[in-house]
Amino acid sequence: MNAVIKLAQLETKMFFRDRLSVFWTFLFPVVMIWLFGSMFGDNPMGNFTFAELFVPSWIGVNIVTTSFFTLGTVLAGYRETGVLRRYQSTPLASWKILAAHTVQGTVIFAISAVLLMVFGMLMYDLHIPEYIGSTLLALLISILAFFPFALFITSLAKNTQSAAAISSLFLNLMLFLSGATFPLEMMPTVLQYVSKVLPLYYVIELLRGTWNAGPITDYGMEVGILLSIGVVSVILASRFFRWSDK
Amino acid sequence: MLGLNPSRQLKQLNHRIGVQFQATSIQKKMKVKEALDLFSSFYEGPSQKDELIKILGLEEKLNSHFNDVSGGWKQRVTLALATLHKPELLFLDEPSMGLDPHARREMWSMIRMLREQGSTIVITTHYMEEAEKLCDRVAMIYGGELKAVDTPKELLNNNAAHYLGFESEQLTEDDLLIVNGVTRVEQGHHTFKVFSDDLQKTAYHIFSHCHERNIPIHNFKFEKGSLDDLFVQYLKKEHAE
Repeated sequence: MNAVIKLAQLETKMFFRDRLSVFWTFLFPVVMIWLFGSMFGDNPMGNFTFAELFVPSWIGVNIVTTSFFTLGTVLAGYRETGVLRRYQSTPLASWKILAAHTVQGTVIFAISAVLLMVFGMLMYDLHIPEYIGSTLLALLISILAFFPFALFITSLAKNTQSAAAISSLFLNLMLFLSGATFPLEMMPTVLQYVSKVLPLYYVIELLRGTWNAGPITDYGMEVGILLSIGVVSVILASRFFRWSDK
Repeated sequence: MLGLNPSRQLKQLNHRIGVQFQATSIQKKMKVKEALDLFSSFYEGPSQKDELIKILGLEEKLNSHFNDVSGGWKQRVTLALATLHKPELLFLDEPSMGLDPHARREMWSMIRMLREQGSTIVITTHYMEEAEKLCDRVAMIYGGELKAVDTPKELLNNNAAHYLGFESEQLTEDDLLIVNGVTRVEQGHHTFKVFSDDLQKTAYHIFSHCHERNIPIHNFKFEKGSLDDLFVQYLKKEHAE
C-alpha cells in the first residue's frame, strides 16, 4: 500500500511541475466559463441561470480531460518510453500502478472542480449544490465510469501521439455533442440521438440534476448506465493492460 | 531461475533480481532522490539506498530531474534503482553504452564494487574489452546460438582466435587465400592477419610461397588474438558454412 501512496504523491507532484498541463487542466475550463459567461451570463436559460447549467457541465468535462489526458495519455507515454517496463521488473503489481494513477487523477480533478465552483460563485452567484451528498456521489460514480474507460481506450494506442489524438477526438466529440457547451435542443434530431451514446451525456445530466433539481435517486437510469460503463471498462482495462509495446 | 519459475512465481523472483534496461527512462520530471525513494518502497526488505548514493556518487544529483542529467548519470541512477534491494542476481543490459571512455571506466569500477557485495551480475555487451576486463565468465552468443562459454583467459587460449600477423607491401589477400591451410585473411594497410587450423604449417607455406616469388615480409608473429578476433572468427565460420 505504501508504494501506491508514494507513487500517487509523486505523480501529483510531477503533474504540477508541468506548467502546460496545469494550464489546460485548471485554467482552461475557467477561461471557457468566463467566455461563455460574457456571452450569455446575464440571460436565464429556461428555469436555470447560466452558471447553474455551465459550471456542473464543465466539471463533467473536466472528468473527461483528467481521465483522457492526465491518466490515459500519460500512461501511454510511460508505456512507450519504458517506464512501465522498468516497473515490470520490480515486485510492483500492475493494479497498484493503476490505483496510484486513479488516486492522482481524483486529486487533480477535485482541485479543478473546486476551482470552477468557486469561480462560479464569485462571478455568477452560483449556489453550492442543492443535494451536495448526491452531487459528490454522482462525481464518484462518474470517475468510476470514466477513469477506467479512458485508460482502456488509450491503452489501445501505439504511442503517446496516437493516444493524445484519440483523447482529443473523444474530448471534442463529447464537448460538442453531450450538451456540455451547446444546448442539445439546438441540434438536429439525429445528433440528439448520437449524444445519448456518449457517456459524458449521462455525467452531465446527473451533475446538473443533483446540483439544481433533485437527489441522485431521481436519476436511476444515468447511475445505472455509468456504473455499467465502469464495470465493463475495469474488466477491459485490466484484461488488456500491457507493460510495453513489444 | 534461483529455483523459481519465472512465468508462475514472477513476483517472488522480482524481489530477488534486479534489471537495468538499455533504454534508460524513468519519469522525466522525477527527481533522483524521489526515484530512489519510490523504488525502495516496492521491496519488502531494507533498502541500501544510502550506500548506493555513496558508491555511485549520486549525492550532487539528488535534487536534479531525471531528464536534466547526462547519459552517464542516467545510467548510474538506473543502476542504483536496479540494486536497491541487494538482488542476488543482477541483469545489466549494455551498461556502458553511449558513455565516454572516462564515464565507462567509472561505470566499470562501480560494477566491480557491486560484485564485491556478492551479487551475481549478468552483463550483455557489444564491447569485447568490457567483457574481458569485467567478467569472470564470458558467453559468446551469435545468431541466438551459444558459441562459447569460458573465462576470458581460457577463451583467449582458444586456438580459433590465434592468427599469424605480418606486414608486406607486395602481397595481396588473394595471394594468401590460395596458400595451403589458410581459412581467412584480414587485410589492413600492408598488414595481414591470417587464420588457419594449423598455424605452424601455414606459416611454413607462406614463407615458401614468398621465398619462391621473392616477396619480402616483415614483423612476422604468432598472435593470440583478442575476444574481438574470436567473435569475428565464429561469425565468419558461420557464414562460410
